Amino acid sequence: MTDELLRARFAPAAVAALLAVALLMQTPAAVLSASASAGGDAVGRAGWAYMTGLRRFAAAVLWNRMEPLFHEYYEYRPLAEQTHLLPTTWMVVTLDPQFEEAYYVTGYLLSKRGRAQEGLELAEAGVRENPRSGTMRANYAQLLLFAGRRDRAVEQADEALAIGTWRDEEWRYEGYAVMRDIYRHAGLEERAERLQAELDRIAEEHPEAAAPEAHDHDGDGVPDH
Amino acid sequence: MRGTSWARVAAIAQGVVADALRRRVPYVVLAFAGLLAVAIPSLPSYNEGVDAAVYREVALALTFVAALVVTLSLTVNRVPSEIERRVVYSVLARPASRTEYVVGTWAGVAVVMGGLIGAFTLLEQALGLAVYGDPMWRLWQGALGVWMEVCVLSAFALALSAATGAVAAAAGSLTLLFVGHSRSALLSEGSPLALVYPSLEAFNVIDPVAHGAGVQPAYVVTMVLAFAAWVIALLALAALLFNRRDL
Repeated sequence: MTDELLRARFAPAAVAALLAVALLMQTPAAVLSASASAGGDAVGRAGWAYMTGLRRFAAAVLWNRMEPLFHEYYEYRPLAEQTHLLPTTWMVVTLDPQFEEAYYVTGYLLSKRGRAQEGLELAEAGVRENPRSGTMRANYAQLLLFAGRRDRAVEQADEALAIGTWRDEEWRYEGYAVMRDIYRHAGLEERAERLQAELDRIAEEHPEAAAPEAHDHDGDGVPDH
Repeated sequence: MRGTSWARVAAIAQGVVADALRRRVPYVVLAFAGLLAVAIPSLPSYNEGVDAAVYREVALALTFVAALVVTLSLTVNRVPSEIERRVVYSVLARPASRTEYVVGTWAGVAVVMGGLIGAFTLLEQALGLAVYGDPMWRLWQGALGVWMEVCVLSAFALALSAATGAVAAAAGSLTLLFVGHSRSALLSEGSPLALVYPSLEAFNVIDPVAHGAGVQPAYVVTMVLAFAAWVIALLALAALLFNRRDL
């Protein structure tokens, strides 16, 4: 047998054997290097944290990109049908877990499409990432109510009022209105009335917060946002 | 001074196409098919499935990125490597003018990219038909915009590489790409500089193609005019720089 024939026959077999060894060695290597893997994870987390500024910038760019799309191409489509938003909102909350708007828009959309569990999980993540945010708790409470879990919704509304902070008076107004409705739904008229009094006060002191620019996308006479 | 011979330009362009085939560029289509097949179902959608508009948007974005990579790899090193390997001397001795060499090289890249982007679009249509039951014909408008933009970048890369090296040409082309899509971020609304700003936004029709009903024929005419103006100006610059180069 000539050298050439040997090479032709055995070279592919040798390559295949080496590949098989490389693949088989993956499992013991992963077990033996568990500590190295943990170290790698820590480095990854640190690197992710160091990129906070860039991540927030990217999230804001993505979110701002949706705005013209939303009003230019989907003006008359109800929010619940705008599933094209989902990959982008997922990316936004992944890049910037403190980006509150993405949680409530996505949670509401999923909930209205009958995906209550996915919506609730997202709203819960919003509260976990933003524990002091009144808006995130009001959003979670609203989705709990949609899912028929009224007692848990009231708990979250109570939490929002007890520890929640609000970005501005407009956000506070919207959050209070949601929670007022939850209390009314639960038959807690006294709490609902207290919130109504607060809403009246905000409307008087900050009329711009009580009447933000509303958009009625589906033309049913009820503002969608 | 002799005039430009389009036969010689075509012969040089044919050489570029043959070289691209020799360099296995068509395999990029297979890689793109794999990328589409993996990327689209992996998009996060909270179990709602990927919206057809999102599919079109991502497909066009992948087309653009793949086309950009191939265009730059075909263009930036072409002139410097042909000078280094002394191939350019045999071409220019045939006789072909330096202007014909530049125009022919660009035309060859444009033909290769046309074929490649066309193949990408056919793949996207096939997948769109299979998954959404819609052949999505307006993807061709997006493909035309992508092709025009990468051809403009190719002309710019050619102009830079006629005077500098491959690295400078690649960096310069990517800079033009960034600047060309940043007008609204860099200039305030109503700024008079907007009139002379080198914007490539005319070729960006991803939003109307992905989310709307496509663009109007009048807009396509505008795109074609902008494309012609860019290419003629950049090829003239490339020819000027290459003619002045001491070989």
